[in-house]
Amino acid sequence: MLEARHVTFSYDGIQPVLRSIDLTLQRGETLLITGPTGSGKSTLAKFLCGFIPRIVRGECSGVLSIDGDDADSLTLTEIARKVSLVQQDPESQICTLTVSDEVAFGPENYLIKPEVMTRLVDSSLASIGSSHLAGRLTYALSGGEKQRVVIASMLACQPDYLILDEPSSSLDQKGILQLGQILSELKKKNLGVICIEHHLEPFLPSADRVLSLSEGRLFPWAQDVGRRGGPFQNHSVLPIETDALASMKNVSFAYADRPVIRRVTMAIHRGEVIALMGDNGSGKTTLLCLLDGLLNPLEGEICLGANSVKRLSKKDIAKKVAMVFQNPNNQIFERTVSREQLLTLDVLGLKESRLTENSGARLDEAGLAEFKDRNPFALSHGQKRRLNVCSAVVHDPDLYLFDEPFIGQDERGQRFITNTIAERARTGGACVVATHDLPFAAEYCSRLVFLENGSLLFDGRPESVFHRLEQTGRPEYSLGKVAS
Amino acid sequence: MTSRTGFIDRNTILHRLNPAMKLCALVSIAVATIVYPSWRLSAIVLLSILVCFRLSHVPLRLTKGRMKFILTFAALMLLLQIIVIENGSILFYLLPQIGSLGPFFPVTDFGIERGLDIVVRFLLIIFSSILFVSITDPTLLAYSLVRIGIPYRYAFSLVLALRFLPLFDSENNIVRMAQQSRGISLEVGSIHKILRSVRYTFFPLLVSALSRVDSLSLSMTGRGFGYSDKRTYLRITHWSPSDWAILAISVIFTIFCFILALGLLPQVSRFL
Amino acid sequence: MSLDRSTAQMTREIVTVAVLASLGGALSTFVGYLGNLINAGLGVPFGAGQFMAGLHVFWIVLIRLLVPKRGVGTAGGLLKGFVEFLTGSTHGIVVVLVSVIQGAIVDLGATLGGRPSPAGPGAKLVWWLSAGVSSASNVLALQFLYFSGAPAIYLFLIAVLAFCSGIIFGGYFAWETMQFLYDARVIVPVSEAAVPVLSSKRRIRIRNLPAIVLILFLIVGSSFYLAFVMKALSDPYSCEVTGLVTNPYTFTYSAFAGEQVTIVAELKGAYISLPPANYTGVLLSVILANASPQSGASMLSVSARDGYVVDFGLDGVLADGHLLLTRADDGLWLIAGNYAGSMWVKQVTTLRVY
Repeated sequence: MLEARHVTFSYDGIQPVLRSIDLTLQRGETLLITGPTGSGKSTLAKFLCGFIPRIVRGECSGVLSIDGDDADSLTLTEIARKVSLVQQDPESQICTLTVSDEVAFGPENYLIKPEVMTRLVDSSLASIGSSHLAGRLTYALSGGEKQRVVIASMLACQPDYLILDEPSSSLDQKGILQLGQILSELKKKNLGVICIEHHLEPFLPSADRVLSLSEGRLFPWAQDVGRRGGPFQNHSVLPIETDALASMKNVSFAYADRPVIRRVTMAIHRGEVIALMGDNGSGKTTLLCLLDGLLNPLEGEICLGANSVKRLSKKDIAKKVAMVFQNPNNQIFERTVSREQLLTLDVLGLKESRLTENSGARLDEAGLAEFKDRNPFALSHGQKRRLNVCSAVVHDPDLYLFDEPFIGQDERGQRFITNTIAERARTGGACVVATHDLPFAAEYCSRLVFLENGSLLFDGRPESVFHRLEQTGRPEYSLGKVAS
Repeated sequence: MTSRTGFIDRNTILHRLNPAMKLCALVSIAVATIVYPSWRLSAIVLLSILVCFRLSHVPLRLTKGRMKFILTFAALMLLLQIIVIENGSILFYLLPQIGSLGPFFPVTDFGIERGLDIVVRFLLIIFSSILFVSITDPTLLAYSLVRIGIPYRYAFSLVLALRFLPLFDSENNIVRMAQQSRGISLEVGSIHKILRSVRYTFFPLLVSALSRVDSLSLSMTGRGFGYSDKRTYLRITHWSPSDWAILAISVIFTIFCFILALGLLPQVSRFL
Repeated sequence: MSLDRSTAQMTREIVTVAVLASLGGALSTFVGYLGNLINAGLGVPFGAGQFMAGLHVFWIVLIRLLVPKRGVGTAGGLLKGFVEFLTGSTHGIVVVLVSVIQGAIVDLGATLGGRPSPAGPGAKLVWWLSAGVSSASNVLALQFLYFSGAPAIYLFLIAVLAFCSGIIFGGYFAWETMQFLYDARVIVPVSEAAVPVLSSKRRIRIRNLPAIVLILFLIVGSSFYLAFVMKALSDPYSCEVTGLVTNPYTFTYSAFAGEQVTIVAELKGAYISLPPANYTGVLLSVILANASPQSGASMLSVSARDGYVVDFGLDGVLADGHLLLTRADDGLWLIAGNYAGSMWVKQVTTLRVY
């Protein structure tokens, strides 16, 4: 049994992150823990594997015991061999070049004999249904595959307890369903599992208990209601014009020899909010980059208004289109929040008073005004995302292209981003949002474009596309999930 | 499968040789040709390197981008030497006498010889490097370095660094795209602008890279990295008799070149 | 528990070094690209790209600052070199050597300068200068590969360029980056204040520091240049007389103004000959007599600036009335009237008796 008693922890000695937590986990039991961003979930995970207080500094009190042994009497390695932690971002946990090396990494450090190790690697991969990945290079894996390799590499250390921190955050719908199955497999292997999750639905079937962490305390979980609040007219106010704001005609694109976009034709009109959906690797990000003129199509033509993107300068495109990429750190350039916010106005020579004034108001709306003079990289992940949105749209371009804007956003952040999108559509612009967020697509978008292997599979009103997806055997995109 | 390193995974005799031995051989060749830069001797070694390309089924692609650059560069170096060096017997003039002007740029036998010395040495170093990179699995290289006495935690940093390369490449691309989409272009007109361009590219990438350090070191510690001073390996590198033989040949070759360079074997160095 | 922490700390340091070396390797193409932009902007094929050389040193300095331990600079340089080598650097294995040397110089500077602190600007100066030297060292290391035979003045100029670049990027910019990472809370200062923090008041002055250092360096550099390099180049009409002689000296043409003779000689090359012409100069026998060869000496070897060497029997030389050094546009030429054309030497630098 893994047991934590009266755990209190604070990084700075002032602001407690965990307040007197009590928690037990039996072998073979699966426990779900949910809670808002910043409620201390990751901190709790680090305590349970002994990283707090051994490696992470802070003020800590409370007792951790593993199978009856007080953790204080154990070394970190002794704890680590019993309790393994899968952290949030799989990309930051892979340390070797090939999948089998990665899974063997733990056993190698624990001086397991090569013959035994080979079996261990095979069985660890097999137990999460990923034997086919053994010979692959780690960098070429998809997000979901990376996640599974990380889990396998932990299983290869043969722990009794496994803690997963937000494992679904980098997964698409399919990956989340697979993860749910993996959890029930682990349960069969008599592992004690704690899964810390934002989206509970897919994991409820395999859960024995669900707890909720809020402001550093654990409570029994109660179904919460409502997401973004705020009403939003699903269907655009403006009549959809015949002139497209942007359009693609028979566009194809490939990285080296790997085709990513295949003959896509679509038009984007003023007033539209388009959800761009599809599995990881289906070409959503590439499609957005093509629309923004950042990649040149192999074939076909992309137009902004009446002009071909090819004939527009980068600055001209930047004036008309705002793009927000996935990783917030990759799109912040300045040293203070306010300079970051004004950067595009500066570069494009648009420092007129109206836009500059509006920019301040928008920061305020995003809840970032108080951080004006801070280094933007010092913001939290959610705050950075909101700054990305603010700074990209500061010059009121016609078309917004957002790539997974809702990841890591709490309710307030989601509301801000949704409002920004709605406002643009209402005032005669358009938005394309690549997202895995089914409720957003169903409730807030006027149109859903579904990509599969780079081809445009479905395009239409969200409800009808969801219907078609369900009909064509893609239960992971079932609207029923949204209703629940 | 393509990867960011130049390694081409094949199963040939050369691929199977011990990576640490291959590294020693490569260093021996480089040292030898720097110590005794004779184009005749270097050309013999270069030829055998080219044979090895064949043996290891690694394509040379002489016309592709980087190779083209290397060969063009070599040709330019040769030309430069020929122009700069005036001594030796004049063979002909690059610009023959026209009326009372010229002749200019005499080409001498010594100039050509010196030029060849430098160019063949350059090509030998580059081509043997390319061969090494193509036939050596970088992970095994790191592990084989452990076998010759480097602590595994240090050697492992090579694996780590290579593992993150493709990620940083792709993040670099995204940062550049994000710059473009915000209307930022790289400018190098003044020191101020250069610093700005560098800042806009380096800072986002640095933050992104360093923010991974905590999570990665926790993950590695959680899997027992540093648990013991020793470690076992899933994939093991061996020292076979042929490894020892090639190592011996390379070392002897290097010693031979030192002897030649010191002028201790004038009767041989006359020909090489 | 403390053992746990030190093991974990070491892992963290190894990961930090690896990640930065990797990023440095990944960005070396970007740095090359900026270098090419500068080359293109200035309209020169190559050379000005050395202005970016300091950005390679930047990574090593950053590694050494973030993991403040002796030897980490060298290790970081080695690792970054290996990354670039394995990803197909056009320098091949030599890039490892270049990078290790750079790392070792940064380490040396770091050890000499000590841990940078706001209180001691002296440490910073040492760090910055060593970054400059480290950056310039690549020119010398690469000369094995590319510049053999290139004029010393050319090497010197690009080394100066690389030095300045090292000061700017490995010094000033690395410091700015540390400040930035600190502000961004990416790094937390460890207890002993490892982070060189610039207080905001001092920032303005510090902004100007690179310019001051640069100007200082240019003054020092140009006087060094005038004192040493120009001296060698200023009188191309001189050569060393050395070896088995009782009185080795530097022969200068002007000092022997009264002892010139004029001969008629014809260059008979193996392939191309020059018609007979008048040559005025100082006989080798006169030059050598002035140095008094020792009794055991039997040969004379004449070497040129470009590495060309010819040997003569000493007795023959001392008796030869058609063997002289003459003054040409680009230096002293050896006119060997009684010998084949291949024994004529242009730009003579040394006469060695043995």
